[in-house]
Amino acid sequence: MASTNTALGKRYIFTTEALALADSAGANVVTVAGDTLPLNSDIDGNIFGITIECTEVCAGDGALDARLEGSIESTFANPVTVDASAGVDLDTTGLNTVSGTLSAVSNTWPFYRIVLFTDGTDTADASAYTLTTATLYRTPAAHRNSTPARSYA
Amino acid sequence: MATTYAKVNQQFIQVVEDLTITDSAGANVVTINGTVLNRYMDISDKVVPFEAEITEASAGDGAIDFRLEASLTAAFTVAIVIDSTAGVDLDPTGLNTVSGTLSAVGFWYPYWRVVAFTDATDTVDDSTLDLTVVAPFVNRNLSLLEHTSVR
Repeated sequence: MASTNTALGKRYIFTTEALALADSAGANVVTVAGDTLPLNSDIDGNIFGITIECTEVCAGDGALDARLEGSIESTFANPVTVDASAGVDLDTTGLNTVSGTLSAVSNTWPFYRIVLFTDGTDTADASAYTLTTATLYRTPAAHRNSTPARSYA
Repeated sequence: MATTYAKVNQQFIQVVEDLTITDSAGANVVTINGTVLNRYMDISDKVVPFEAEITEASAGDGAIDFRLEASLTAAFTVAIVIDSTAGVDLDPTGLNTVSGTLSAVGFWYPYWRVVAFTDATDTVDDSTLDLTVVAPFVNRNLSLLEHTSVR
């Protein structure tokens, strides 16, 4: 799994390649989490676009969809589902691509990630995907992260 | 009870440690008010993430949930329930953690707080938890915020 970033106009494109989805081993839902979305991606309060491309097929159609998760912790120890579905249906048996949107309207989380998931159909093998996210670009603010020395009380 | 603050990825994080939920003394609902959310936190009209961690367990599972309250006064003389449940179920009998959200969408209040409450199961002892709440940082001009206009 490798991620790259591209600034395109006022948009910020975040691409993660070789997201490996394991064999569902029967009729089980299987998931794979993408990398944490970068600080430059302005997720808070926005609807943003995603594209999922199947780059390595399996034999069963798992009807792949995506959800958006937020977390207070960078480790995603206790993730919360912000948007349960992008409303897409990627056929995991062919090299094809779908696009959709995920919504973080009204939400403000320190960390976000996208999780791909199947519908519980037997996928009959492992498969792999490229996930691309397009958001507004925001100025990096990581340097402002701090435990404030001043009092906010 | 100690409160600390941090800024992470443009969000302002308030952590209150050692919130004590007293023994329910039988089948009674017990509640504990978190501290007033910091005025640098932009709560109004937002979905507010939080995380709660049990740091000292009790013997009974009170299924701790959380609600969001607002008030026109810092003392919360009259508290209004804005969101009555986060829909979480924190088990106070073990050292565990839950995350959830509370909604302030459509509401604008000057003061906010998060309240933990049990489901009336006998908790069979005190328990304590740490409560973390997140909201966008807003650099308030306090001189304007607390200004009383003469016109």
